[in-house]
Amino acid sequence: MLRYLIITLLTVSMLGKVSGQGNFVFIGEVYGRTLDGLANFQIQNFSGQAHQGKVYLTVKENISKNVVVNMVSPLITLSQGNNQFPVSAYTGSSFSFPNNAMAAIVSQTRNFPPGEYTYTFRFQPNDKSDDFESVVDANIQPLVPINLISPADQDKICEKRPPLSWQPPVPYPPSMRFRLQLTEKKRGSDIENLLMSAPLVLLDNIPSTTVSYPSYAPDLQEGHTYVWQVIAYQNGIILSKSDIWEFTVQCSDSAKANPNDSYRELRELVNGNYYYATTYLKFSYQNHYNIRKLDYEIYETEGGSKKIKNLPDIPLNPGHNKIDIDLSQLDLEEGKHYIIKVYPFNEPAVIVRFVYQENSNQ
Amino acid sequence: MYKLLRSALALSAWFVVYNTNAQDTTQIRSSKVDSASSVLKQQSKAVTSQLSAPVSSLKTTAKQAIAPLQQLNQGINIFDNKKPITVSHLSTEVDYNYFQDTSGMGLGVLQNMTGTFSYLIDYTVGINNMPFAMTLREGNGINSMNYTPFKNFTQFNFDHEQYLQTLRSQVMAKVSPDAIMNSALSRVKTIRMNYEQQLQGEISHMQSDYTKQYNTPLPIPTDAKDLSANDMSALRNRLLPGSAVTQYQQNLSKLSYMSQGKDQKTLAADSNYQKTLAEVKGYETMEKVYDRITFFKSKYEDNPLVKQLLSTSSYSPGALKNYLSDPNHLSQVLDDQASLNTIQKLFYNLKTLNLGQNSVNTNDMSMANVVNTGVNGEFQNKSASVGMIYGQNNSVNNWQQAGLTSSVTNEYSNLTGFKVGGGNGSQFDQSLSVNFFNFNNSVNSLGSNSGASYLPVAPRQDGVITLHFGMPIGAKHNVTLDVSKSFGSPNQGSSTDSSGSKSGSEGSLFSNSGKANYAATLNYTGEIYKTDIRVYLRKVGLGYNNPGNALLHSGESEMGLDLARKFLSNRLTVKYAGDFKQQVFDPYSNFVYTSIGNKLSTGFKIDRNDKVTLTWQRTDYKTDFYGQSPMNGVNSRLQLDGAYRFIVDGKKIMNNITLSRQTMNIPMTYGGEYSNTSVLFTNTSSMMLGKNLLSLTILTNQSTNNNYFFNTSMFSAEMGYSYSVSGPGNLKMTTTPGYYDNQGWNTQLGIRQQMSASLSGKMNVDLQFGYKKGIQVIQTALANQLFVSTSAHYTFK
Repeated sequence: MLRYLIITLLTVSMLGKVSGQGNFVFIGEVYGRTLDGLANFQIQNFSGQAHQGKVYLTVKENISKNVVVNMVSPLITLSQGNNQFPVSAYTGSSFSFPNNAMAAIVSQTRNFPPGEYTYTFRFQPNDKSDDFESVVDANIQPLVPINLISPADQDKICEKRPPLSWQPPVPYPPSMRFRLQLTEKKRGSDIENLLMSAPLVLLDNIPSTTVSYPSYAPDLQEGHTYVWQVIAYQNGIILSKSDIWEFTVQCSDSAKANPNDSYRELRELVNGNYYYATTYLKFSYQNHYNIRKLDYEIYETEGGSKKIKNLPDIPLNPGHNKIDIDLSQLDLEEGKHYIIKVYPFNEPAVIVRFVYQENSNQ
Repeated sequence: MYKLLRSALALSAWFVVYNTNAQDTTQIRSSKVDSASSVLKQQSKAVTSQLSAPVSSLKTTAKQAIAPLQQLNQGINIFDNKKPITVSHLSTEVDYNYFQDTSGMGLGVLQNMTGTFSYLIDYTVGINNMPFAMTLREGNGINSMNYTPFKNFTQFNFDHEQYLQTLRSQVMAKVSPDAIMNSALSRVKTIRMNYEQQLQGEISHMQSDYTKQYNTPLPIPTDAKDLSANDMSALRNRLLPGSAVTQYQQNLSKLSYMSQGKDQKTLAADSNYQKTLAEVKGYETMEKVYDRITFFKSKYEDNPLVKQLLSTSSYSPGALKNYLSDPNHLSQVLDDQASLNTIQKLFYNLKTLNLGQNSVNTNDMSMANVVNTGVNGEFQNKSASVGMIYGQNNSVNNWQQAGLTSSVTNEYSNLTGFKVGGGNGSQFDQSLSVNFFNFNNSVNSLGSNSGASYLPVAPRQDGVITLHFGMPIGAKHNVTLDVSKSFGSPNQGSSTDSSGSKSGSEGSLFSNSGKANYAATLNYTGEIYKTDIRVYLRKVGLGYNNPGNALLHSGESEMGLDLARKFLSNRLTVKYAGDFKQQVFDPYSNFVYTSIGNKLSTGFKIDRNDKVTLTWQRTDYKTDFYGQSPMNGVNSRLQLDGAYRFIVDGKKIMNNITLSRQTMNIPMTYGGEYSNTSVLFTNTSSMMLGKNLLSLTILTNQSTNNNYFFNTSMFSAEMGYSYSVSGPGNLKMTTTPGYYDNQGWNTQLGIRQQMSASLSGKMNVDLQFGYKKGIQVIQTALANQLFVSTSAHYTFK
């Protein structure tokens, strides 16, 4: 990485137009993408003595032929040799944006839209000695954001060691690398939990767009939710971040929260009253005989009293039974009224009306 | 001055809302006392009528009579606990992970880590019976003990949901079902009175018009406007008796006869004619009055809330619980029947009070993907809501950004935001939020491997104003609209420069010379023909810049459609999701990126144990960039997931299978194409051996890209055996030996051992360690792997 940086710095400095007194070193393709990146340049002072002065920077976009931004630094002192442009000088600099669309975009977003840019640096000494300037050209390509592909957002999957894949920026720079983080999302927390928790899986320096679940990471657990994100970087600079997605490992049908309702006595309600059945219809039932299966039917109360099919078998024990009928697997509509008819052996049928509700916790 | 103004604004809004709430409460209190008096009278009558009963019986009856009166007059003390501070929950969790990766193949820049350590302390404390959840969580740093401020890891949040739950259960336990239903019926009465007032207004208007015109009053019984009356035919008989109809018909004939051959002037002077006319018009007005009464009566009876409240006539716990699940109903019962102190009442409406490190996720156009360290609060009563947020940006994820410099430079320094909106009594969900972001980061930590680095930022203030509007349409449809606008530009520096340079500058916070600095999103979710539907449109202007959500893409337009429907008694599920995105990167449309995505998933449930799902997904990409030929890319996936069960020798064997093929072809920047195709097959079979579980997992991945260890072609077979060890701790263990063949890298034998124990019901310990030994090594990286993962969780209370 350091080697790349040095080679690039040397190359760029060679490209710049060198004057006798000094020179500016700036990597346009890397730091020329954002207004904040403009602060990352070095000034080489060849004059043999220190100078006080200001740095003037003009950025021009060549396709539209518009000047995009002008920057004027406060007074800085240039020592002999290499000088990193001070952060305090950058934050104290004055920026002006001409009246054109490109400049307006930069002013508002601090990002340079893609284009062909010329960065002209000029150092104007305070002591009337010769100024010097460097010109750096850079072709700023658009950064198509990376998008996660699989597991899909909000998906429920069965694999406990799932492969993870994403779409890279298009076109895909060969030297781009990715870093992936996967974290368990604690119950009740937001997806931003990823930003606050230690990772369960952390993979760096990924040259591919698909990874198998790392063999050294622990299995994902049934019923747990996970969040993951991928970032793309090049030459040590983060260029794009994906959205944060979440998925849940759920192989079998979810263990539905059985509402903590009481078991009501099964008896016909008067005055048109009815039960509320949240996911489950719960009632107690006295089996006076040795009947092994509950004999019952469920009907719609509207639209022709259609009989509900595929009712689950409810096993019975002799004596007192607590019955839970899982309604979530049936073709019931939330908020609608239904009738359950239970046929006790050798006794008249009991008919009870209920309103079906889905469990809000699911 | 600027900050002071904002604070004052927030404070005044807060008090307006609180006072409104206090007035509501006062009114309810006074009506409560009135109704208490009437109940007292009724109960006293009951007591008097039982004078002949034995004295003991009389005492019991009197007691029963007074009990509900006490509930109404004084209010039940919901909380028995008088302690100012109580601790209801305290638990800790410690995690440690170790992975030996000297090659850096897995951990990259973080390869020198000897292990990662994190801990979590969860603490729930009740202050004046209001629950606050405190969390201390550390582990968000590569070496967080050293350089990350401690305050970044703590949070202290009011748990509003838990508070409501506690109040709900206390009401269920302490307030009698009759009293709860009294509250429900008082709401019905309030609604009815509103309608009756409107009706009275219309009747009075008709009466006064009639009197004005015919100089005679039109008497209407005062109880005619009582919408609770059920016998409408009796009312009609009173207003329009049969004799009146006959009289009306006779009068009409009379008028016709009297008006023959006479002009209007003569008729106006004819007192007999005028008297008859007044009787006719009186009858017609009375008919109109009756029409209005029936109109308002049906309006009252068809009111959804009235219907719901009256349907809750069952006193079953389920019905009461369902009734109280609506915060408005709970609030009504508390106001009527319970006694809460001022602070407890205030916190009832305090939806959010988060202190410390917290994620902020309001909506995409306002705040999302952000972690804030500071304070975030929202107060909402029936009529209005007001919120504010203040804090510093804490979204830096050192795990993800260590050793890298972020050019995604939306990491603001601090934030101040306000929000005003509708109350929870409103049918619509509407809010207006304004957030101000201050950028003042002068830290340049380039080159550091121990944490994220940032470019220095030119000082600036950005602002975003967002309007949110949500509207339910019927019971099954919902539409939301968010419109947002950003503003701001870099501040001028303090240095002197030429006036010429300054003249073109834009230093004002409210400057707006850029283009398209807005964003909007429109969402519809609902159900049509038993099909769940979601349609969304989103547009983010090229000049829109919202530091509150760094993951919004400037210049992007997006539209999408999601459909889901179940068939065959819920056994067949079909889902479709499609989206179209176009991102224009510059104002001259020289750089355009387009993608079209489709995903179709069909799942069929054969029975409880057997099901199959087929998923097809494809995304097409196209770029059209200045100076380059248009380029196309594609990504597609076809996946089959299945679960099935079969029985061998009486043993049930459960199987989960996945077969997936994924292809990606993406053009490279300097020509050529990145291509990757992988075919993955996994099958896990498991069966019970006594009380223990035996499972076999076979995984094979055929990849065209074998240059990267974690994406190479591979085959693995693992057999896991889970068993319990008798003795203290309820120790459960899983031993998993395995064989691994990573093409082009190595062949390994390995073992993974998992242990989990529960000690005295308070402590859970999980330990997993694994070792893989290369028995055939082609490349040394990750040929031998050692990894350890431990987690201990202790619940003190």
